Amino acid sequence: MNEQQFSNIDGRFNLHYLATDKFKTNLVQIYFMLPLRTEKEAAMNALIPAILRRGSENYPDNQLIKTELENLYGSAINFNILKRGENQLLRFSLEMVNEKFLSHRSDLTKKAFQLLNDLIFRPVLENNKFKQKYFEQEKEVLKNNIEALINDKYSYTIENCIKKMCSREKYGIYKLGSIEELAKIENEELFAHYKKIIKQAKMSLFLVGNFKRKFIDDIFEQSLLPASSEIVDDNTELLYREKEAEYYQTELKLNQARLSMGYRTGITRNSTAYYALLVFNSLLGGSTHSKLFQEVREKRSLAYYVSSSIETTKGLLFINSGINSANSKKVENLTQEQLAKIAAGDFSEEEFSRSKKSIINSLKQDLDSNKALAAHFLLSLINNKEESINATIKQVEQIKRSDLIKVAKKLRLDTIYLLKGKDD
Amino acid sequence: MINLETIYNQNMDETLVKAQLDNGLNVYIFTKPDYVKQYAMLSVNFGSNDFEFIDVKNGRKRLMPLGVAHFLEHQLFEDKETSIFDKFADLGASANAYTNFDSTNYLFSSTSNFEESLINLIEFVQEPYFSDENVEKEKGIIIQEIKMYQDNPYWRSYFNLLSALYINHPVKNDIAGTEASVNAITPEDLYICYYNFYLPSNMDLILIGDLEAEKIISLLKDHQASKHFPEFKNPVRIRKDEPAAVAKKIVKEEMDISRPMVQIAFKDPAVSELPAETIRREYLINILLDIIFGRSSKNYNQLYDQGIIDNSFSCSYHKKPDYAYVHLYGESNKPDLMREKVKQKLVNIDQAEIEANFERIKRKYQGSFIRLFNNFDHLAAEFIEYRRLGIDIFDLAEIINNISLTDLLSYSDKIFNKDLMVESIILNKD
Repeated sequence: MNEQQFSNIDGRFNLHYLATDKFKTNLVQIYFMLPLRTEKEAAMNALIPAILRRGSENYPDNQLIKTELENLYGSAINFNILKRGENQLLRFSLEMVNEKFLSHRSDLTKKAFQLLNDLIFRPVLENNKFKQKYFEQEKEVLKNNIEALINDKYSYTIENCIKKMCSREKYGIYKLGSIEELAKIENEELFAHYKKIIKQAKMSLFLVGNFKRKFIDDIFEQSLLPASSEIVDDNTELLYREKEAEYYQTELKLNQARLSMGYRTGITRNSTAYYALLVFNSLLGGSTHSKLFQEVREKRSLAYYVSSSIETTKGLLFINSGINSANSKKVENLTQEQLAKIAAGDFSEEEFSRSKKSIINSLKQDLDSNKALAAHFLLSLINNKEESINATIKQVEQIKRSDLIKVAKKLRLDTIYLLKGKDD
Repeated sequence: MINLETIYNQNMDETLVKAQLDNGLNVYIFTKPDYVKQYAMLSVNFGSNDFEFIDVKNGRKRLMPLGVAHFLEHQLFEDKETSIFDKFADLGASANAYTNFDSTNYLFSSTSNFEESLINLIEFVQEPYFSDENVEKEKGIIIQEIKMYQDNPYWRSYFNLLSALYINHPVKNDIAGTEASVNAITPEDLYICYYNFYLPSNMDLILIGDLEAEKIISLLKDHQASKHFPEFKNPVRIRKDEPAAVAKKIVKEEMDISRPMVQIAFKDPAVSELPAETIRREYLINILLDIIFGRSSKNYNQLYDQGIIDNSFSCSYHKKPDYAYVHLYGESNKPDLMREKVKQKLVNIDQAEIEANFERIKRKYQGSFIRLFNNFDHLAAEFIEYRRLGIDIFDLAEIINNISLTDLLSYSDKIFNKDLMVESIILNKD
């Protein structure tokens, strides 16, 4: 299997290009990496892209921006806030159709990139700060977005579990900050913060698709991208500890209770145990053949969804399910039992082999998605371990049963959070 | 020999191979060189709307409990001995399924052992096994699924909206049914639905990947030839006539959410028309809506500036052969003001605005047509939807290109009929 890989184009900039003709679209992603420090700074970092997308010097309002994007065959510009380890990532992405599929000749890649560049680096200013109207409106929109977490009970439960579990760590800060701290932000300090970010923050740029050489050369000539260092994490504190598990719960008007169990793995992408963790997670709760899916859902009908997921920059594992709240102790005990079974080597050769195959299948499928390719590469950059998907697959193939047992033994339950109905 | 039809679309650089097996199963293969992923979807023309029909065996009228199609989807994953999921996992493939209003779709994705996985897929769908014990066990799981959706404010207000729009049409019912209807389902119900709808000639198989079309089709042919199926008669669905009027003007509910949610719909009374016209009309009115209320519209930007709507706002038109509606959605701290302003804008449509923005919005849809071919899951789902209307997906490009400004102008004053408007509101508790 031939894998196309990201290659670094120019020494001055952290530009990584994966040249491929496979996709109908071309993808550009620009990442700024910011250490998580305080809720206020997190809110500031989240507010900046929200204001930037409102207008630039050449496209001073949303209507003009959206009109231009439609002209460019529905090119999409999206600004997102991500959290990886104890870092916030501001992602500015652009996706447009590959020109070769258009009947008219067009230099749409170039035009769309200019628009993106303009939005990030030439915001609409007033009195040497952000335009006050945009500042105020987007502060309100961000407040609404932070509050809207409660509308999605699945994410609300996980985020609350994280908040309790990491209350003394930076990882406990929500990726959008908090409403209280957001309220304290002033335009002047925000603009100063923005200027600092675009000058000093770690920054990387990814291209996936079929870009002309001329376009890439022009990026260096014409864009305002800073020559800063690569988005490598040096901020995340890896906390691995023994402690009594803590219990928390919240009551809301609900039909279904949600349970989130947070574990410390002590394993990040840089650990040798990383590949074993991937396979272990698939066996525990990452797939439909997993122990949890079989025991909690298929055998006992206790849940529709029950699954485990891993965070491999901070070293955490979460088990999430939607259940009747009367069954929460039962699900908790079942989870502990399954974990103990894996630790005792009580899993069949078939279960082990399915878990490995499932990870390999999903890694291989990533090769067919421009966004998955970028996401894989992003994590390898952050963790300073550049590794192709094929190289990861080779490592997964080497994993032995004993490696999984070691991972299972290493897991430490930290926090259990239950969101339950008021009448339950 | 089987007749293969190969269509190469030069503009998209995509190849589609079509074949029909002797038992009536339609096979469609998109060959994608360079791709590692392989994808298969077996789509059954039987969805949550199809709970009332004439039984082909005895001519009796059947009224099934709501959610029966979705239940059947879950239940086919049950086998006598091994788990279906495990069978796929042994091959390194990953299986899934979903049910919507008009179809039930079984699928897997793989990167190796494609042929074995494909046979697995067909066999588990073609070999039903429903026992009292298994059916009882699945009820607990499905009821948790229903409860999960009941706590989703968007989903809940969306079905409140549909129940306001429709008096008789089955689309007003939740796809999974209700706790009570699910509890009423028996193995016998499932067998009745199965033999009425799950025959090869009521199914389509869509395959995508770096595949050898001829080899796969001959494999399928041999496999299907070894099986016996009863003679297929087209299932006769019973649909009561849907009156032009709406059922309710407004539905309100309270939930633990951050701020009110508003959904507004305009019922578009169904008219029987050619399938191609259904698709054309869907694109046409979506273009119109984008001009009036899309992200680049004057209306959207004005109301955003006034803090009445925000990014949560969306508008779209849903068109099926037997029902259609315009759908607007938004979250707002000023729900009453939002409702009033949005309605106001819709009755005062500026024809000059349509003229000025038409070509550009059409271009956006041309772009979205190209993107369709990037994602296998999306491509399969869209392909089958259009295929059932008698249109190959490549023809969409032409349908979009042919939409004219005159068409658009002629619709703009017909679609927003206040008498046919309904609203669904979820209020937050303070």
